[in-house]
Amino acid sequence: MDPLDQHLADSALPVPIRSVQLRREIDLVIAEAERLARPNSQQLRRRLGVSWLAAIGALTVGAAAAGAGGILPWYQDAPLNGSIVTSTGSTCALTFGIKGVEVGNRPVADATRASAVAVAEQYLADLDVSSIDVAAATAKLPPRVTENSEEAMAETVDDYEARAVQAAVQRGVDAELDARSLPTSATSVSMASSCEGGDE
Amino acid sequence: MNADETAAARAALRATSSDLLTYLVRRVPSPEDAADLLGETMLTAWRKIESMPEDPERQRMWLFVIAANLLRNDRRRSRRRLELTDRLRSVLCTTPTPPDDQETHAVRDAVLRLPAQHRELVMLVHWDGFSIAEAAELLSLNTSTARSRYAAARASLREVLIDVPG
Repeated sequence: MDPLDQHLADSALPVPIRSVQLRREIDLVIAEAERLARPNSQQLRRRLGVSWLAAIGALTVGAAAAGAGGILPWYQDAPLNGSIVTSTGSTCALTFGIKGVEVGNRPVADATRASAVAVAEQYLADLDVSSIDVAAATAKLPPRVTENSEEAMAETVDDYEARAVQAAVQRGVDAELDARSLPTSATSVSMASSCEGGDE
Repeated sequence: MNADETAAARAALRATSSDLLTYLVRRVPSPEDAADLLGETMLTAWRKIESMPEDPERQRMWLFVIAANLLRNDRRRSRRRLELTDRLRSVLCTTPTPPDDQETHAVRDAVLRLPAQHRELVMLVHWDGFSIAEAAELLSLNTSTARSRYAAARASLREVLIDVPG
């Protein structure tokens, strides 16, 4: 190294020594900035939430996934609408739809996938969301994440319980497909939720 | 953005955050100002997180470009105090800085006396560890302009620091 390079590197303005405490405070700034950058919790509660359940690596396929008709192409004529009351007292309006999906290591013929989507949509059309036991569905989920971490985002009670209901619906769809010898990997359940009221 | 992508974004911000703070501390009058600018950099990054590149080196540059832009704008307006950096401000002010010797002082003084367009290039390359091409990107210069300015800055420093061989 040219001696000038070394002198220049050594000449850097000294900065506070990197300590465990400083590292912790920087991490807190990152976490707080993440929280502040999100819509505030009230807006979040009233906003339409959309999620879907599918196998890891699944790609949505077919007309429902093409998105040509709008942001939520499945939402316009979703087969299932209903509401639940969560443990906080919120009423959550839920809308469910079905997406045909393709899992890389479990290929399904287009015709089979179309049959699976049709069966799943009919199952949703016949389902009454209010008949789902929210507490029992919630008990089947891993504990709610209450703090943001590297592994997972924190969830409100309403979002968590709505997700539990979505998982219950997915299990019902899978059972229906199994009963008809159709592949469960060919579909996933989409859900839009909007929660209002409650104590949270 | 799914949970995996969010976790990856957090990791990327964390990986570069200490270097960002160092970069800012060296360019603003007080550690408190650096803390606020780090907070603003992180807020801006989270708001634009969908556009963060996937490549780790590009992620680092993306974050430094945000910080550099905020630093430029910061010099044109009064800084806003951020609640999220209250504690960091306080910790920064009480964290010691290592001492340095007379010779180091002399070289630093020579760097800080360079014309602004040369000084920042030398600081980015020698204090922050960027290549000349990366420094050019941060300063919105084309690489050849940055190279010629950098060469001029080195020649000038060598002239001033006559005891430095080479």
